Amino acid sequence: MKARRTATKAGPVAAGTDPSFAERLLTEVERWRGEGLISEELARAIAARYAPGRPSRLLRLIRLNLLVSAVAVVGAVTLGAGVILFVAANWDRASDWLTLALVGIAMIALYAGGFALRFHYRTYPQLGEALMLAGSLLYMAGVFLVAQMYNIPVASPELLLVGSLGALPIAYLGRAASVLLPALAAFAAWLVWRSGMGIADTLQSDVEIYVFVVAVGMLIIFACGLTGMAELHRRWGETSDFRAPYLIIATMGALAGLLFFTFGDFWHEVADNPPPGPPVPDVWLWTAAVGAVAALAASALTAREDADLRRAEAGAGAAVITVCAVAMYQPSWAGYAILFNIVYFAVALGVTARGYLEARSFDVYIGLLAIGVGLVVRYSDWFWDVLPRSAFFIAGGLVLLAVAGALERLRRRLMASWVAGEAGRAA
Amino acid sequence: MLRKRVFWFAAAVAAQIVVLAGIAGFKEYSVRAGDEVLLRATVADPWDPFRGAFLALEYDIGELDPDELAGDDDFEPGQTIWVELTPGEDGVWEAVAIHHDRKRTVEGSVAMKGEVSYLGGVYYAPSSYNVRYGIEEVFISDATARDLSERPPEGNELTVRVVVDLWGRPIAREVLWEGRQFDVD
Repeated sequence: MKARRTATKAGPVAAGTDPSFAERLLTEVERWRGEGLISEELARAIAARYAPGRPSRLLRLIRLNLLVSAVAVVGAVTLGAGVILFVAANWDRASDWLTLALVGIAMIALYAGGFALRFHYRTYPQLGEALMLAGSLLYMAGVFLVAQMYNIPVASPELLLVGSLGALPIAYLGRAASVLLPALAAFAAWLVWRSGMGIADTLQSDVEIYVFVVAVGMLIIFACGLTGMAELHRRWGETSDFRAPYLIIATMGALAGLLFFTFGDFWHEVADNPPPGPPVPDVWLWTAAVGAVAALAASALTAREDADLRRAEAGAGAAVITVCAVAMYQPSWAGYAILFNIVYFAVALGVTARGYLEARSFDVYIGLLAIGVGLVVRYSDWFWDVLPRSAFFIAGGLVLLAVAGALERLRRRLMASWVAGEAGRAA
Repeated sequence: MLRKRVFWFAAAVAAQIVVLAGIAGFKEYSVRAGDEVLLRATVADPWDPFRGAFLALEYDIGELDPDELAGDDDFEPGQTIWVELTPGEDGVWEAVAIHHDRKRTVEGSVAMKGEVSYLGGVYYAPSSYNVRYGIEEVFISDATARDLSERPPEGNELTVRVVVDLWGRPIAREVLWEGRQFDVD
């Protein structure tokens, strides 16, 4: 939305632009985007302003860049896995300290190479980021490797926290957005695991089903907070590209957690096995809830051009957090299944709508996918025991085909709308 | 600008290295400063099809009778249990008391941390506690022990040299069987 508005305001300037200047500018813009100096949205906006007749050229370059990034990330993950497998295969041949030294040297080499390519030579910034990602993955795996070497229990959430907190500075100092994905995922896993353990310790009782309510609720609350953080990053110049990994973890975490809460059997079992006495407020829960609301509020209050959308997003996030908090403190009500079904589909539709308004294809695809998954899950939930198997699969297949057709039609309309928008800006 | 970025980036990398080395160093220290005990065990499984030279062991102190031991007797599955050990006449250490908290009631004893896995007998009056210490599976690193016939077969008794670190966690160091020693990783 920001990019679109910027382009629309500046559109007329493009009419008298020297074509050779536009050509050079497009090349430079693409280089800046690759080096992370400007965001993809800004690159599109500049292209729409100075080269309105050729936005597709920049789009092709951006797509090629995405391919380069994807290949580099796969390479980084493969390289990291290879180093870990090499260490594991030769574990009993080397001393503990030699193993540790090997991991350390590999990490330093990857980070040094990545930094040089990204900031010193500036020739292969995406490859440099991929090397930083490989280094971070090696560090995070190294934490567990060292724990196992020294008989520290690896089934411990604290190791995830150590891995996450170690990788986060690399992401920010190396401006490597891809490093954020494993770091944030590890942090979310730590928070969920730790809060579940905290509740289990506090209640001192065998209430496993309630621990799931707390753990999944924490995941949803954390994901809502990340949505606010994503928007704040977009406004902090250098970290504007960090919005994508924050939104990916936030969207997927919230939808996965909410889908878990939509099952009626789960809430019936919670109602049948309530925690002994009122659940005790846990410091992790309060901290996460307050932090998430603060991030959403900051995002809404500091928004400028897209204030309406950010306010709607913050309001929806606060509503989801409230519903989760109530369910965590008063879990013995079977009606939560219906409530969370409404919340799940509302969030999935909201993500799709946000994607459409901001021209973010990831949001549109993940939102539509969540709607499809939700419909299939509910269909199975309701009709598996009622219908004969043959009728279940025939009707299910027809429903899926109908849903696929509807989604394809919606996708086509969205794409047509975006293309029309691009053409309008170009004109 | 670049020099400043280099400095902070290098500091972040150095912090990661320090964390890894710190975990290793601190654990190494806690092990060196820990107490060594000898425990009797029976081989439950001499081979793991997926992980190779793993021995599954059942320790004598893995099954504790609360009527024969001093200390607490109201444990539930999943709870932490502190087992107080003292050396027997043959040098093998035996349980003398069990506690909810870390404490030593006998001179020269060592307190080792475990977790109650399940209760034997009826739940309101358990006749025994099945306790796991995290050393029930040990990996034998010696090259000679790769051959299954070179290793203690199922049902055989052996002893395990264990270090109890500063936090009371046991770490298996050596398996002793019929005069032979196998290093444990």
